[in-house]
Amino acid sequence: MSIAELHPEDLLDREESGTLTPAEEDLLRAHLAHCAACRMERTLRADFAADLDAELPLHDGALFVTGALKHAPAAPTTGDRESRPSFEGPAANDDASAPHPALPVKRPARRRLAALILIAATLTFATGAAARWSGVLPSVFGSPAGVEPVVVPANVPSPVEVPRPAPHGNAAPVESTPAVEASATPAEAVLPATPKSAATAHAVAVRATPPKEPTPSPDAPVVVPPPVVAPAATVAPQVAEPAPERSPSSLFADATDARRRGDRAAAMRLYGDLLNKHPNAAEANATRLALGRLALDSGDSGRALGLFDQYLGSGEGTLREEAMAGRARALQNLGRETEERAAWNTLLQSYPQTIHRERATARLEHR
Amino acid sequence: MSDADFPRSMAVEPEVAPSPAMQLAAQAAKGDVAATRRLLEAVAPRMMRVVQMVLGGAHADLDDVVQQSLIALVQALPSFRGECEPVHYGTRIAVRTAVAARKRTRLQWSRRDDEAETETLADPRPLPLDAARAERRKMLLRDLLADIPDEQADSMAMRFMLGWSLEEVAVATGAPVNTVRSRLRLAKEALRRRIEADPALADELEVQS
Repeated sequence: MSIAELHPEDLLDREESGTLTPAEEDLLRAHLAHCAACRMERTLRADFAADLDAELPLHDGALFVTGALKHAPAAPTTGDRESRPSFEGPAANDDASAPHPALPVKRPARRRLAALILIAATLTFATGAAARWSGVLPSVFGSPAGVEPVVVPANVPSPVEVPRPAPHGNAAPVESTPAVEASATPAEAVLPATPKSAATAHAVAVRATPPKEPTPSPDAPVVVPPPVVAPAATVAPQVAEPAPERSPSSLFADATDARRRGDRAAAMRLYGDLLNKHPNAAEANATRLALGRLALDSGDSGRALGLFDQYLGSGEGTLREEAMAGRARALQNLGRETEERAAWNTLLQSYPQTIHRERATARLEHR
Repeated sequence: MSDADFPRSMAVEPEVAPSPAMQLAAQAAKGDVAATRRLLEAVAPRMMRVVQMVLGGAHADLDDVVQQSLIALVQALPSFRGECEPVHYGTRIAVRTAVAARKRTRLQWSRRDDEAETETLADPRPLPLDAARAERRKMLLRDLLADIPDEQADSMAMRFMLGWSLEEVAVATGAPVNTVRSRLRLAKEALRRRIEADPALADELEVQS
């Protein structure tokens, strides 16, 4: 039995191209009846064919191209092409742990979670340490020259409580520890009960607490720094600080995540934010296309058309084919048939082998 | 898959004038940055799609591998001899890069306690039965690619995922057709063993004739 008889790939090829003779068809059917591997091959080719024809994933192609260009070969000084190494592809046992220097390092979800915990712990520590430090410093190093410390009973609250900004992100809020409490019990004991999610952060914060003064007796009077004559801006009720402006890359990443999750509303909001706040960012053009598609799918063809036009007007070429197809579909939805036909024709002229060819041809033959 | 998407005539006829992409590749190989950019813009969509097919759409390293593939293409351009269209050259590089990434991912996960893979966790929404089965079949193939030798995995990916004919795979890999046939036979044997090892899987995947 020949190899070809073992697995008749040629017959599968001919079946796909529609050139199978009846005799070959019988042969193929007989083989498939007992060969699970070939059945699987046939089925998988059909499965993946749908993927090939699917719309492109909305990655920021422009960024990929820009990243790759950094590795473009310099103009050769000699014409010896044969002496250059040929591409052999990455070996399977390459050290995968070392990311390519040009790559944006993308952390797996687990590592991202660890990073978030670390950030939360750092913020917690910073907030808690600042609170404690403000009470500890004067008692450790003495009061500022010329200012006498005020001795107050342990049960008298500190006269000045400067509100602190709320911790960022999802970190659990850390209540300020009034000096009186800190003095009455060990620091670890007076840390307020926190939600379980912040337990780790607190553990880190407690371990990282700077050296403390000796714990005084609960009944002992406490040396509290004098009331701080804080600048008006400090004592005045604090207005919530505006959230730091998010970078276009983080907005783009979050929007893409939302889109992949199927949360179209969030994706559209985030993409819209990106375009409003960073219209000239490197991600802006890919965003216009992504938002255009979402708008098209949600029935807002007018908005979609505008976004596709902006993308095409930018001169960006990576996802131009998709933008042209989107534009034609938007025009179709808007009932602008003449422009739609022109758009499909332009697409076919620019990309004769486009995956949208079937749709374009059908629309052009329509009517 | 339509012929238009992956043209069957991969080999470049000597008497035919070089295609625009071929001209761009030649200029890019000489260090012309503008030509390199235009070439990348032309081939990047195809390479992105191929990487997505090999890795799965929700793979955590998808973007990185796309970037690696494009960089590999740029670095390989000086050795490109124009024996096939640049898009096929790029496709081959994308397949090899993605298969290698798949193997690395498998290796990394095998060193961990849990066996969860990111792409299986990405979308918890239930799929219709047919789509779920198709996805399961694709996962089976992607897993298999990580376990078989590189040459077999490359040929299998080009054949099963891209739908290429034996001749196309032979041109892309620079191997004789019978060598490709042999590699595919070995890869299919591995696939058969995997299916037979789990009869329930075969039923579930509904691999019908």
